[in-house]
Amino acid sequence: MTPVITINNLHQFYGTTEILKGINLSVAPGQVVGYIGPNGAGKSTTIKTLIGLLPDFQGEVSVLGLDLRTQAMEVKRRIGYVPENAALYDLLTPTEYLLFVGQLYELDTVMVNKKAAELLDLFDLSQHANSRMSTFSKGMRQKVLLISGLLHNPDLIFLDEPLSGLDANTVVLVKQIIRQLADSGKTVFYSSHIMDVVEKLSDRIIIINAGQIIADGTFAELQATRTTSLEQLFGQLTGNNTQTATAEAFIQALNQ
Amino acid sequence: MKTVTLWLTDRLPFLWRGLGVNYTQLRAILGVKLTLDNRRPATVFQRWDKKETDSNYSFYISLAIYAFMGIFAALMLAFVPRAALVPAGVFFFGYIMVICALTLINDFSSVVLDTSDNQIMLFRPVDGRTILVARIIHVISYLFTLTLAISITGIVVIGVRFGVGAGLLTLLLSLLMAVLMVFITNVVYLGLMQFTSERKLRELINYVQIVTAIVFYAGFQIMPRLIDKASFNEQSFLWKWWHYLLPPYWAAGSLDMIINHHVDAPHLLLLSLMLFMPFAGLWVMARVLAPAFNQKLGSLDATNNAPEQAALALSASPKPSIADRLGAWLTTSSIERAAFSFVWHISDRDRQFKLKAYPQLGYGLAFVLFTSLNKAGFMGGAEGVPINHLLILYMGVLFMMAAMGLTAVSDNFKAAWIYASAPITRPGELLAGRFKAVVVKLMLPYFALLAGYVFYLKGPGVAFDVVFAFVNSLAMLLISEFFQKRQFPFSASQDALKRNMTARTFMILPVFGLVGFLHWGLSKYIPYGTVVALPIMAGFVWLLFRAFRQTSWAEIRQDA
Repeated sequence: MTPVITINNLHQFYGTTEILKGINLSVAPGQVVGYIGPNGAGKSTTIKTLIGLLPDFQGEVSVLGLDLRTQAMEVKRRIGYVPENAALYDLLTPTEYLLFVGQLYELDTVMVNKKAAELLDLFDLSQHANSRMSTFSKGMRQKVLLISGLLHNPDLIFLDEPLSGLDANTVVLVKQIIRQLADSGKTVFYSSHIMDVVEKLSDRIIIINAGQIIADGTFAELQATRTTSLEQLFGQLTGNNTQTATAEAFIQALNQ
Repeated sequence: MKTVTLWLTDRLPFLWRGLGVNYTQLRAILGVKLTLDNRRPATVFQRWDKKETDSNYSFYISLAIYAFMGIFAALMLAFVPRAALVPAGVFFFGYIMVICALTLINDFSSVVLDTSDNQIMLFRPVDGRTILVARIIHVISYLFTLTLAISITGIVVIGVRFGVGAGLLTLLLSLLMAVLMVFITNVVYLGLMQFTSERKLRELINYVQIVTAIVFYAGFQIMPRLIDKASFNEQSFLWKWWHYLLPPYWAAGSLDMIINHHVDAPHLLLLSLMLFMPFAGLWVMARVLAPAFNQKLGSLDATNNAPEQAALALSASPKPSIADRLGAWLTTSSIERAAFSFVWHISDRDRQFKLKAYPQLGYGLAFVLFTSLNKAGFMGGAEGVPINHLLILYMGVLFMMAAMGLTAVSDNFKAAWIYASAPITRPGELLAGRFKAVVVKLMLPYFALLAGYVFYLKGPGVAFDVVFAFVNSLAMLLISEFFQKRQFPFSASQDALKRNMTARTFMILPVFGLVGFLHWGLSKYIPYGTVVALPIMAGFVWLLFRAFRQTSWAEIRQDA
């Protein structure tokens, strides 16, 4: 099978600071890939590069068999992305917003409205479909965002911290959706720092730290090296397994 | 607004094809943006309405004000002889140009550099050109409305005097002028984006805005004076080479050509410049500048999202700042010192504060300078009556009051929960620290500038007046604080300031007038009057400040 994502020696700079220091990656279709790492490790930068937001990269990147440098627009048309910080025009209603997004993808208006109504209904939002989103909770916005990222039925979906802010029931629902998307042959690439979610959901886990991939494999493979939970594993791999000692020092400093 | 704009854009498919824009997407973006404007309490054009009431209402009020000012711009068109149309036209179109430019400078950067769109649109299959053109059309839709309001009198005047055709031409020329200004401002911004590092861009634009705002204001003060009265006679206008560089001359020349039937090479050149440049500008924007636009915007956003490395680099300098040292010296309690340093630092760093406070102070200086030049016979008119130096000195306090008000507001006002959750028993000390910071950081240097100018005009004899005026200014600044619910540093929303400001200004102005008048009377009619009054006034200021410092929780207004 041809991989949906191929990254060869990707370097990404912010000013003179090197954020990604040579990422090599190949993702096969139909997988759920969990991309995890501490804050500032380069998770979002990798995703933003892959969706064509940061075109000033070094190295070779191809997405869905398309060269990201020359065919970024075609890539954008065929992938879905749900950003982390729930940014949407909250003065619009969900219906209006989804129609707007559909128009940006040049989808058929009637189709978009029908699809949006159904999806909103499935997310229990049908009674809010025509009220402005400025009154919505973070979870409700996240649902609308999720729909807006999937509306054009993309083959490859990038989710940046997809479960943050969702209530417990919706978390279960979204996990199910991610699973079934993958089962139907689509690829889901998502970033997170909530370890136990990653553990249960991912076919493959990639850990990134300080701009470099430091672990890559199924949960079982990663666990084979250590008999610990992913959280501890994560701490060990990122060289940050001194939490207990740090917590003690923290209390000490407070008591001074 | 939305219906009209979209109706118009629907009629221009050839233009979008020429610009290489995806019209379906453009229409969707434009429609959403205009819908948002209708629903948003404050539009992108923030000056026009900040009220929480219906946005269109205050938008129409400002249109009415622009239309009213437009009457004056058109006065000359109504009265000059037919042959002297060019200078009157230059004034009229120049006026439109200045208003458009000021509006664009103040509001356009927020539209062009709006990164809030990024997370919504940039990763979708929309190219930079379409986004940029959508933004420009969005801006132009407002700018056209505004231009119409300004030029309506001029159009009617021309139409009545020289026929409907000439009136319609004036309309066309006015709108072209607006497009041209969009192009010029845009090129400046996009140019800056090409040549500076993205990190510095926002900072830089901030200063560019401050400087251009002052320059335009100053230029507008001078412009009427530059138009030589002698050119209003019957002789035909003499074209000089530099006239071909200034758009108002293009428009005025085109008008002259049609109305006075001056069809010759210079006039044809002017007309073709006027017709050609705006569209050439649009084309250059969409074709040449836009491709790099998305990319730059993307990295502009990255600036916000990659603070970790920057923070690491910065936090390595623990040596005490000027603010901390001054604060230790000037304040008497730790809470007061905290507020002093806080106001000092934030006023250094907050873009919104700098963008609002410094132009205010700049306008103040420009105003003082030009009124005094004017009175001193700049126009070659009556030379006697030089401006009273007291007027200059007291003018400062008005602008200081505005700056003081600004230290109470912040976009980040919700962070003020900290004042409520901290165990502060004497909240007045926070206010005292804020007051001291404003006086030391803004008022002292500003007053020194004014005083320097006064010394330059009058010689060292007025030293006593300067000192007395300073003490009185302090008193007035404190009094103005007593006229309102007092606020903690950077704790109120922008709306709150607007609501507060107008009413307060009207209440406080008579007090200012009275104090200034007393000073004038004392120095003029009572020997040693000011010498006696100075210690009394100083004592009064001390009492006022003490009362201010003892402000209780009940007297403080909290938004958060």
